Amino acid sequence: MSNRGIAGLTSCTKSDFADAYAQPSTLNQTTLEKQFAGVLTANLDYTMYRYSNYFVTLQNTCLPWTQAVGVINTNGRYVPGAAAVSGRWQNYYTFLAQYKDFLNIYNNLSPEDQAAKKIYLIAATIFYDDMTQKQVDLHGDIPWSQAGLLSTNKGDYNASYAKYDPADSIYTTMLDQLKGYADDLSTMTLAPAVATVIKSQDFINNGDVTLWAKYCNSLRLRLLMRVSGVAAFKSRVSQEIGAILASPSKYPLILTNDDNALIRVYNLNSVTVGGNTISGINNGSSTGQESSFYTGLYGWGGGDVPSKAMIDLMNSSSDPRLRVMFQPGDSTNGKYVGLDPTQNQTLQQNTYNAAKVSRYNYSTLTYNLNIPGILIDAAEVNFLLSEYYLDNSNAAQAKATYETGIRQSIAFYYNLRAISSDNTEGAVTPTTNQEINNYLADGDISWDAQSTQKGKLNLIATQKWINYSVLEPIESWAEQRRLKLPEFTFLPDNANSLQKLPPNRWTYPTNESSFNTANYEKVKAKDNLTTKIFWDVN
Amino acid sequence: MKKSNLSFFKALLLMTIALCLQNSSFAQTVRTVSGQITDSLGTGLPGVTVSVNDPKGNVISGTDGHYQIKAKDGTTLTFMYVGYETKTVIVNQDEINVSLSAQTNEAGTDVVVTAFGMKRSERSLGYAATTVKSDDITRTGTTNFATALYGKVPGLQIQAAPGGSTSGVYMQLRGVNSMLGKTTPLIIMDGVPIRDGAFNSGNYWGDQRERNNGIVDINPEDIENITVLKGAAAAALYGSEGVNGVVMITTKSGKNNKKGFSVDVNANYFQDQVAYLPRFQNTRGTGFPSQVPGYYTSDANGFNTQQYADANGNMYRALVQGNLNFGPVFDGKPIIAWDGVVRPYSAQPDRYKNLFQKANNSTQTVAISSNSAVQSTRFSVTNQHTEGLSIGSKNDKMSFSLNSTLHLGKNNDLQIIGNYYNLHVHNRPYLIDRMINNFTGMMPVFDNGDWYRNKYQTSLGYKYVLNTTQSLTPDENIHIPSYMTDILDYMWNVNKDIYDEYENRLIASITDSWTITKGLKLRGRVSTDYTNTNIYDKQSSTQPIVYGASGNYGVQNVYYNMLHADVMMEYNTKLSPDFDLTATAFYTADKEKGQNTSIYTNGGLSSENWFDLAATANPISNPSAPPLEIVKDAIIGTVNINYHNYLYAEGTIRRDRTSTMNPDNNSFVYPSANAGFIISDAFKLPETINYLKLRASWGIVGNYPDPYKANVAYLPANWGTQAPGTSPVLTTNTNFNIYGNLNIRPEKKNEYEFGLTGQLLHSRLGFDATFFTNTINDQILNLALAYSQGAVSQLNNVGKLSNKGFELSLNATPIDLKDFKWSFILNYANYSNKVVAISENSNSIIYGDYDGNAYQIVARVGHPAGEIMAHPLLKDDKGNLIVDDAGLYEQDPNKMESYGSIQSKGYGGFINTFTYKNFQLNFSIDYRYGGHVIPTGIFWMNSRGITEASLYHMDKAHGGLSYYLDANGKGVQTSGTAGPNGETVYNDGMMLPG
Repeated sequence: MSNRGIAGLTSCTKSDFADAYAQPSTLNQTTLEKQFAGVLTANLDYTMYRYSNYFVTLQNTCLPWTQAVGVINTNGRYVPGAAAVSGRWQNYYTFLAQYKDFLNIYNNLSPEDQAAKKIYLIAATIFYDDMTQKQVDLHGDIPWSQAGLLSTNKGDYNASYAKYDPADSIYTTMLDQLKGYADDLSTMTLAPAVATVIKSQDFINNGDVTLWAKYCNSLRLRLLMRVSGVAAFKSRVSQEIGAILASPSKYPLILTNDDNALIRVYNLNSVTVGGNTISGINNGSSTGQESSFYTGLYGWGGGDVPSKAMIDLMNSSSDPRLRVMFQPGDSTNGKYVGLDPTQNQTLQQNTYNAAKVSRYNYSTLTYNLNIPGILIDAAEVNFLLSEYYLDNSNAAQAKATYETGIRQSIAFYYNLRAISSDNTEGAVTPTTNQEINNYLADGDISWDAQSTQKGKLNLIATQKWINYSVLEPIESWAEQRRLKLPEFTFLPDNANSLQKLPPNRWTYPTNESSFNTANYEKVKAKDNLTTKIFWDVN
Repeated sequence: MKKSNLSFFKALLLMTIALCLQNSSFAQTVRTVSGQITDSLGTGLPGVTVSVNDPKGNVISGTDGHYQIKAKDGTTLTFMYVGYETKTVIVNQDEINVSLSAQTNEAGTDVVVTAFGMKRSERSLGYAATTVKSDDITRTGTTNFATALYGKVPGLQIQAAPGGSTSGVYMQLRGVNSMLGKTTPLIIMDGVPIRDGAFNSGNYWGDQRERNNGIVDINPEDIENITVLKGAAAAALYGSEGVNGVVMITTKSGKNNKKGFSVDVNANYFQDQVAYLPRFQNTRGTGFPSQVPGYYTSDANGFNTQQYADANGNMYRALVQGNLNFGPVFDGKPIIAWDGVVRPYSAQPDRYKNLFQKANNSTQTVAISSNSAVQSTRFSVTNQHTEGLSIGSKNDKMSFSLNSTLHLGKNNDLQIIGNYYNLHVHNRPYLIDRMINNFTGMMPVFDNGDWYRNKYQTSLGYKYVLNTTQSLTPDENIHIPSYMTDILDYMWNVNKDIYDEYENRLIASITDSWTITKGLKLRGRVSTDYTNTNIYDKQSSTQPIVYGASGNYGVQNVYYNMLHADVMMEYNTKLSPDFDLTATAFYTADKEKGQNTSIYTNGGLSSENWFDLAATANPISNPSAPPLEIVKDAIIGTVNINYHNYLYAEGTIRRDRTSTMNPDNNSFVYPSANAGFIISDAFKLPETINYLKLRASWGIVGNYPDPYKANVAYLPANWGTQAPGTSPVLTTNTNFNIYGNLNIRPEKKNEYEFGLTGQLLHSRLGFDATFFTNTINDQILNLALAYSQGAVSQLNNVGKLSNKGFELSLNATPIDLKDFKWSFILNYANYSNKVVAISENSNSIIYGDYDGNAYQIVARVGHPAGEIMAHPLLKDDKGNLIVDDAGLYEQDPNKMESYGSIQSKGYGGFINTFTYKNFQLNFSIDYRYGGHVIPTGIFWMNSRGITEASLYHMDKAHGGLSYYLDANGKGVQTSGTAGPNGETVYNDGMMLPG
């Protein structure tokens, strides 16, 4: 063997180094379309019904605070835990960074491509604003306009510390954006090449411009109603909602369940991302007691027991949703029973250990792998309209939309059962028009039975609460803080010096105070549980 | 938290049977020489090899040292005996008596193999190097060489994973050199790098079996010696790979043998048993004090309220089903155990041990050597059979080693080395995590591993069934309380799952050395370390197919290849009568490639125990094949100067390139220098000092990021079709977790080292002391960011770490009598490690957060890397402990305090050799001190009442306080035999100060 031979055989070339540098499971290039779908998939843990969100975040925060479930009187129950806040915060900024990277790619397209592919920008931004609104409603001011720019700034972390944007300015920016997009969508047609690709990549509306317009305007309605009590927004609220209602063809809304903005479950596949296997666009594939939603809602035990307030009202008013949303406990003799929030923890534990309370229905909800992730639905939009009409003294429309909302909500829950993957609870007796009419005539439900403005508002708030149930606890908590309705009794947590009743907001995670120190200092004074979100004026 | 003293005490007694078969040949008789061989005190030495070259032959001396051999006049008789100096005598008479003197190495003349297989005399080195010889490695019949090094090298810390010979070994030299990167030394065998690698031992959720790493393959029987190089200067030639030190293995070759042909046969056997277990209690069984309601449905005595029938229908008392062992004290009266057998209710001291097996281990080696003018060759075959303590676990390994040098003419040597390993690992041990850290896995006190052996499967061979769960054998369903499902699962797994690994590994090199002219040498080498492992994982069906598909089958292929090449040109000249100069240039290149492919069935096996991928019940999904590729090269220049053989100096400069950094910015240059000064040769010293050497070195070594971490790239995914008539949803995501860094630089370790070596009192006492200090700048860390910046963390050069250390090795022969000799080696090393900086926005990194923020392992500025942080007890403003309503302390959720470092402060060994006549006894101790561990499992076991410690306060004899419960259920301390209103007095109270 010759030494020269060895040298020739082994010397490394520049391309040897370059080839071994990149991980084969990654890509150095991407496209707008792939980054767009990457935005929609970045927060599936929080748009679908999954263990981590329910177990870590919601069972300790919004679910008991809205009395969608029975409040288990543990110590510290009104202080959002570090893990609860941090997990959701991290996911929101994962999602935000993905959106900002998507924007960066869009901004680097040619002007012609930007024009042809504007639907991607609009759709991604509507979804982004929807998620941002929830983030603002939980925390107030957040790092936003300058956040998530590490990738855009080519990895310069010093240039990427993000200031906090005031909550009201974020709402203003989003309302401006969405108004412009609503106008754009009203005249948009897609080139066939764009339409074909977005039909697959957009798994929310399959590239349907009208459905995006409906999502956009419904989201605007939600944002506008949320700020409707804030003096600075009042004229904007009446002007813009007025305009939406005046031109239903230009500014369509989600008024029936067919138009709901949902993330539908089409398959139970899992997906490999960066070498890790994660759930696909679904609620996981484990079934029964192992279902992701069930394990999360059930929590440490008893987490899927409804509150006494909800069950008592639904019992007395013969709510048609009772049998489809809930199931009796094993030891309740077929009756629906909620958990009493005024009992001490041991008593509560004994009650649910002995199965003397009802549960959220396995087949309709917790074992049902087919529940779509709800972004905004027809019942919610109708209740928002009802409140708007009530504020603007349009009694007839207020009543009509209130009742439409209830009918849509009932239909929605029965449909969940119809599409369910689970039949543990057997067939459910279908509801009838008669049953619904009786319900609408019930003394506690009937629009006409309430004579005062507040009484009618309470009806709307109560229906929002039942409709949101355990499926949209963050929206439910925001509406309850805004309306202060329906009124609930909570047992004060006297063992906790910090917070004796449900708080007004979530604090920031320690990740911010530790690593975004300079910017955090400016909001530190407001970072407590009692500061109200700007729209919380009642 | 408990401060745990980690002083390991390990005594190894050994018996090695060595058979030496040597061939002999015949020649004509000229003279019969006889005589006696004695030691320096005149005692006859048996077993001395006496050989002669004409006529060729050898004999071995008898019991009193007498020998007889035929030899021609004028030829040379050679007397060889292990531990004694070889002596030669010219034949000129019939009686030749010789006296052999015990071997004393002349100080500093030992040849040390340094980087790239270069041989240097020990005296010329300016840095610390320790050599361990083959006898010391194989003496203890160990299954791998690393565990044989326990305590033998100052500064080398060795930890073997539990699980026996198939589990990995972790080595660390001189403490921690990197906060996140690799901390294990580079392993070099016969001058070329070989695979070492990390292994799984502890992350139960990632992998449920004990894994091994590359170093356990190496056959101890084939090792000639091991040299450990420490410090930056020593490792300068190996660059970043050597930043944590270098362990260099030289395998046996034929060239040390005498001319001709020889065969060695060697066999040994030993047995392993479960040795150390936590101190379990043997006093009481499962249950809870009866005055504490709500835990278990137990009667006033703490037994189950329900009785259970044995096979004959007789009813017996039973324990409750639960994991707390604060129940009734053993009374020796009959009780029905969970396996349905009626036994006396008494302690089961061997309960835990019975979960394991005794492990038998044996090794046989045959080695053939041949040596002639044109070649020297050694070929050996070793068959090693080892068993694990885990039931059914065994390992069969065949090692073939060929080491051959061909002298191709006068100036050219060609060396061919090949080591081939063929392994079959059967049922690699499972981690026993679930039995330590899970309530349903901790064996209760009234329980026994033997009971599980009979119950983990049904008579039909299906997995055990509980209570009323559907079963083809409902009568066999386990329904009597106090069984542990995780132990049943473990027993099912170790007995019914078949897991076979077939590994083929070839480590081979070809080296050509050419002396071009006097003083100018050229050497080239290529080597490979190629491993291919096939794994067949057969998990038996747990239930009849009518109840649904169960079981699992998977195949895995692990492929790894390291291709190495180096070229060396060396020029040696005498500059003047006083100065020798050697200049050397190297080029080295390494390419590593690997892939781990695995495919499993999905949703169970469609036919019971049909182990094939076609058996999959659902379509196979998510096969994975993560790859690995690293390319490195380096150009190195070295100059050595030797002044009068007592002052030596060496300088090195090196340029590295690596594929783990941005291809546009991937090279780095760094220097090192060292010097050795033999004081005892330069100056006249008192006679008691035989040898004294001072050495000093300085060097910088780079360390690079792990592969693929620096690159910034998108993570693609295919989510499948999401609506009728559409194509699959394709996404890319920016990597939010650890963002890369295109401008990353290597870590730079800057180290100074000083050492003093001496031999005193005619070499009966020797020492080697080393002091070093280093700073590692530009530590590559995942710099934590605010999530709102757009990533959780980013790879960055931010941290700074420093180490200081002192190492001492003493060897002495305190007793050297006629029949009895005692010699020992004492090794000691002491280190301190400090995190100097982390980053501008952070003073700590969290390595891990355990048990839901119960404790963390962190690196904090100003403290050693690897501190244990935990919540202190809650105190009031005055610093008094707060006792809550339940009478317990509370943890302060807002604070975390340091409870010590996981790093040992020091470690070493004490190796003794006692020789009495022909018997030799070795006795070695290795130790560590300082450093803490969190025995989470022990704490859990204390809380479950399984350990001896949990007996504290159980009654008056164990320090319990007497109290009664008042009307509000509150305990009131009393000295009476009943409460004021006749309440029962309990004796298991405790009261916390505060």
